[in-house]
Order: sequence, then structure tokens, then C-alpha cells
Amino acid sequence: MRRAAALLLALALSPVPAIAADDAPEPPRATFALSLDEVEINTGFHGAELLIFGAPAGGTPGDYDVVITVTGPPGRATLRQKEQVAGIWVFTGEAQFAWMPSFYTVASSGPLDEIVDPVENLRHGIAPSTYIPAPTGLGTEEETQLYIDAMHRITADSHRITLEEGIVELTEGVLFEARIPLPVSLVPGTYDVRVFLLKDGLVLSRSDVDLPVRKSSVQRLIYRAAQDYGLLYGIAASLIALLAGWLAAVIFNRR
Amino acid sequence: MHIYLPVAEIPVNLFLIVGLGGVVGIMSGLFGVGGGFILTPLLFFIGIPPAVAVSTQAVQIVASSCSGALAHWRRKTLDIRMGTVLLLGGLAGSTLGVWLFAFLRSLGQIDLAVQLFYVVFLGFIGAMMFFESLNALRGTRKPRRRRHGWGQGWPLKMKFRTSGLYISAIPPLLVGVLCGVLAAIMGVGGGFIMLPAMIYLLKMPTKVVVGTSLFQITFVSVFTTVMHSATNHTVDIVLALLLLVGGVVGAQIGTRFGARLRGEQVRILLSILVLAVSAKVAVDLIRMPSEPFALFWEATR
Repeated sequence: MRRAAALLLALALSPVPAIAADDAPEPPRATFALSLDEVEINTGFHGAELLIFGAPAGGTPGDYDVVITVTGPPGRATLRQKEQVAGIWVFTGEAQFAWMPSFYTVASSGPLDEIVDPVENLRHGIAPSTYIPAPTGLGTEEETQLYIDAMHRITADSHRITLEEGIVELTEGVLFEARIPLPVSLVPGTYDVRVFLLKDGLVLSRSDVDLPVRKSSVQRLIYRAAQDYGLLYGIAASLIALLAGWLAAVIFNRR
Repeated sequence: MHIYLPVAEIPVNLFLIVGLGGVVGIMSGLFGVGGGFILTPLLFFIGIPPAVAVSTQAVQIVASSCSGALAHWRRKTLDIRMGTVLLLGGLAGSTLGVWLFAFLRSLGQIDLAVQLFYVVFLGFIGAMMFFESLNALRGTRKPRRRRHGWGQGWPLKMKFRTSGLYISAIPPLLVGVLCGVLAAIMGVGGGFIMLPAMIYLLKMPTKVVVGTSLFQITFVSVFTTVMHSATNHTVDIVLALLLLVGGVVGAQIGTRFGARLRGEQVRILLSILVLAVSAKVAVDLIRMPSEPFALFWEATR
């Protein structure tokens, strides 16, 4: 938070540059800061909130719109469908989605289809739908559409891909601020935080910053032990369990 | 209060997990079952990934069964000899079960197979035990021919002094193998099937059955834990510790309660529980799921 305060102070104190209105002005870029340098998944972790705030460089008041996106590390998704066969529900079909981030969220200062031009949306890949690729492994077009719809539904329900319209707050047309919820299901990796400055539906500028998400040393140690030394880890777990059982038997029999 | 699990990679409520371990521990001490058949579905229900739930519950079962088995050993209601024979069969069966598990997984229908195993085996055993113990409680059952279980005229005869039996070692070995196979596939200790098998097939006295079953389950579960950890890397030690804190205490309480109940009463309670779990799994298979699609995501390296 100290960094945040320093930045706000710097923004407030910086002299408003005189804009030569006649020259073609440099498109304003957003200067912004995050409340977190990194997200640490420790023993008490159950989700986090990322505060992003900033202003167009120079602090020029204007009729801006702001869109902020956070993208998780890439991966491969498989969607499986259950159908009723002989009275019971079993998985009957599946489709692969070749490239899908673990997490994607869009925060905006207004309804996305009003503040972002459709072409700009496709060019910069902003709306959640641009992050759900066409599935492979299916026969008909209707089936493909069924899976795409299911993917939209499931990713939204599980907070994997979310759209938070209106959570970016603009103050006096200059300062913007957003509190973006990061769900507990975050996977470790490098997340990309992207800030778009828009006007009349067009993207004026785009700025990126990395947000590392990593496990705390204890969490990483246990995870790596389970992965790399499975046999020893299993023996240790069994010994702990036998010891605990023996201890309980001894303690309870003394009474 | 939440705690983040390092292998399952989700946070869980501390008190919920300890409480769950406690309840399952009480059942373990009371009925002489590991409690896996109820713990595993409960862990699925609270959102633990199935692979982690199946392998981690084995650790909890080691602790609660060990605690219960020691309590029975002190009370001299544990037939070590019979337990060892059952254990040898159990280890062989468990190995076979893990192989079968891998085969069913390669067919892509492991979830369905596990659920069907739950419905069929729990339903069958539960119904059988329920009616038998109901008859016993009413006192209307025909006099049972004691000392005439399996293996009277079979080779490899052994003396099981604590059980008061002189029978062939082959039937207990076969019972052990069957329990081992089921244990590996269903993510359970196998007690719920071993108990009736010991009572009805081997004709062991009810008092000795619980301790002996716990003894066998303890070591089969050690084997299962190590195998799952070495091959699937899905044992979550933090989840296991939380479960076993509740589990070992619960097992001691359960053993005390069990000593005050008659064998028929214990059996009828267990059979009702087994039937309830079987019915729950059956309903889940038949009822239309709220979301017919399921998403599986993995990171690209």
C-alpha cells in the first residue's frame, strides 16, 4: 500500500503538461500500479483481491473508458458430456479446446459492447468469448455449438473466465480504480495484467505488466516431495499415521 | 478457518475436515471397518479431487484402524494369526486391484466402474447383513450350524486359537484377496465386506472379528498408501493429518461404545449405514445431473 500512496502522490503533484492542441498528440498511455507485486499461495490462501489504480499519463482529463484484463497461464481443456444410457448417466462424448488460459477476467468501466468496438475487440482479444477457442473432436455443427455454450456456462460458474462490467471506477475522468477478485483456484504461473485505455470504442493504448503467482516455500516443498519422492513420501505418511494411531491408543488407555 | 492443501490444491475448512475424520473414526472403532466406504464419497462431495480423495483416505484409515486394532489387542479380541493370513491375501488382492484399476482407467470409464462397485457390493452386503441381524435380534432365526464354515475338509489346516477355529488357510486367503481387490478399486479399506465374510463364511466369533479386521485393514492401507504415493503422487499429507487427528480420537470413542453393544446391534447399525451409502450412489447415477458437462484443464508445459 505504501507504493500505492507514493504513486497517487506523484500523480497529484505532477504538473499537468501543456498540450499543444494543434500538433497530433501522442496517444495517452495509462500509468498504473497494482496492490500486489505477486500472489503467494500459502497455507492460509483462499483467494485474493487485486487493486489496480492509475491514470492516463499526464493526468489529462478526458472522456476515457478503461478495460482491465488478467490472463492466467495457458493450458489445454477437455470438456466431457454425460448422457443417459440404460437409465444411468455416463460420459459419452468429449471435445478438446486446444488453447485456453487457466483463468481470464475482464473488468471494465461500462458495458463491454458499448465501450469497445467489435473490430477492436477481436484485434486485441478482449471479450471472454475470444478466449474460448473452437473445440476439436466433434462431428456436427450443432454439437460444436452445444459444447461451446457449455464451456461458456462452466467457465463462468467456476469463476475461470469472468466478465466484471462496471467495476472499474473513474474519478473526474482521470483516475481509475478497480478491485479484481482472484479466485482460490488460481494455478501458479505468470499472469498478465493488461490495461486498455479507450475512447469512442477505439483502443488508444494498451499496457502490460506481469503478475507472478507462486506457491509459498512450505506448499512448494510438500508438493515437490509428493511428485519427486513418491515412494519415500508414502512411507513417511504411513509411519506418521501408524504413530498417530499408536499414540491415541496409548493416551486413551492410560485414562 | 481455511487451510490450503498442497497436493489437492484447494482450501478446506479445518473444522469440517477434523470433524469428518472424527465421525469416520467413531464408526471405525464401533464397527471394525476402516470407514473408507463413507469417507471417500464424503471427500468427493466437499470438492476434493477424486484421485486425491481415494489415496489420502488410505492414510487416515491406517491411523484409525491402527488405533482401534491396538485397543482390541489389549482386550485380547484380536486373532493375529487369522489377521496375518487375511493380510497375505489382501496384499495379493490389492496388487491385482491396482492393475484392474489401471485397466479400467485406460477404457476411460473408471468413475462409472467405481460407482457401480459401490452400488452392487454395498447394496448386496448391506441387505444381507441387515436381514440376518434383524432375524438374530428377533430371535427367529434357525439355529446356525456353528463351527461349520468353509474350509472344514480343505488342505492346509491351521489352528486359530483366539477364534477357536481349526480350518484350512485357503478360505481366509480368498477372503483377503477379494477385499484387497475391492479396496484398491473403491478407495476403501475393505472392512465392510470382510466383516460379513468372517462371520458368515469363516464362522468366526463376532467379538474377535472387529479387532482382526482392523489389524488386516491397517496393513493393507499402509500398502495402498505407499503404492498410490509412488505411482499417482496424489497423497495429500496435510489433508491426511487433519483427518487422522479426528480419526484416531473417534476410533477410541467408537471402540468403547462398541464394547457395550451386542454383536447383532452393531451389525444392524452397520448394515443400515452401508445401505444408505449404496442408495446415495445409486441415486446419483440415476438422477439427471445439474450440469451434464465436466471440464478438465491441464497446463501446457
